[in-house]
Amino acid sequence: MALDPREAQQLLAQAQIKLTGASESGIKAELYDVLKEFFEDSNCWTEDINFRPTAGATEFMLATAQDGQIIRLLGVWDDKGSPKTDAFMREFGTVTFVNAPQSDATANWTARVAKTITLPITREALPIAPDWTLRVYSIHVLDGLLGKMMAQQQKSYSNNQMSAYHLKRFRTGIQIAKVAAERANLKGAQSWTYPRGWSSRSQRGGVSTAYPTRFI
Amino acid sequence: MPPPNLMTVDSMIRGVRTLLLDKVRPYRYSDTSLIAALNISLNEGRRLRPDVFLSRYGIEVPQYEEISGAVIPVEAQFRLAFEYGIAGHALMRDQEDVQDQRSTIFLANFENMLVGRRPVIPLEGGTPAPKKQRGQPGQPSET
Repeated sequence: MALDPREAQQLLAQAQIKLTGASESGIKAELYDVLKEFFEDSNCWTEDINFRPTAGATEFMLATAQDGQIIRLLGVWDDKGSPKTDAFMREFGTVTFVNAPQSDATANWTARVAKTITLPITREALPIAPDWTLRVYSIHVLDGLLGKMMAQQQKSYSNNQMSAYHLKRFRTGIQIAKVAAERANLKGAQSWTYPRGWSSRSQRGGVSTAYPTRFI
Repeated sequence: MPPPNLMTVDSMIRGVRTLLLDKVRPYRYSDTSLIAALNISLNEGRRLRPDVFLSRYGIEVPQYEEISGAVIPVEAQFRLAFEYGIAGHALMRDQEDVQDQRSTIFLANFENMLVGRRPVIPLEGGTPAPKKQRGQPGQPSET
């Protein structure tokens, strides 16, 4: 699993064009931080991991089949597809249940986790991340890269004003990726909301609804 | 011999000798002194722009002991800055006023090109022109 090499090359070229005097090695180092923030705050890199619970045990190690570092548990389902609401992940990579299963599971359960990049990096000094990262979100990653590079001080490409602009766009991009991941990239899923006239600043005398939530 | 592209130690030193007008043996600036200037310039470059020396998992500044075909792992866009840095450091040992000025300008340009905050300073100084003789043919007398 690695970034699309053509997209990565394009991204580095775009960054160097806009950052006069920046080194390629410096841009790659900053890209690592940008992608780490992108994945940590968007939860858009997920993996479903199977495990087999046993009676009496409350902790189960999750073995990732792909690269990346587990950072969050998004949910656990048993072999019938029912969500297990008493699962949590205090230790990264270990699912813990409040109540131990009464008997050995006859089939695998599934834990869905969110992941982020980690070391090692590739021989080209690029982070190891899913190939769709730059194919889908290269514009937002470029914004993050430019924002962080321009925030460096005493460089030919230092620019506080443009840094703030690009970082704001980057945070918007993270939010877009987060919402898309939550909706499994399904257009229009739960996106409706009550018209403006129904909303109220407070719940006193106004309309209060638990669902749906306005996502964007 | 191909023109210096400043990619290897040998090419960098040949480029610096061109700037120093020191291409004919016996050299005014020894190989050892220029290698020392190269190493010092690389260390100074590390202070100004550590990202130039980023390796896979850290920062590594190369150091050299002899002129060879060893590649200097610096991106092409920064090689001219290091050539100026080496030349400036080599000129520092001279005690001529004009060389001091050239040394200062070379070193200032080295820093400016790496940090990029100020424009590059035009070179000044150099070998003084011979004094004009009075009453040469075609020239008016100064009296």
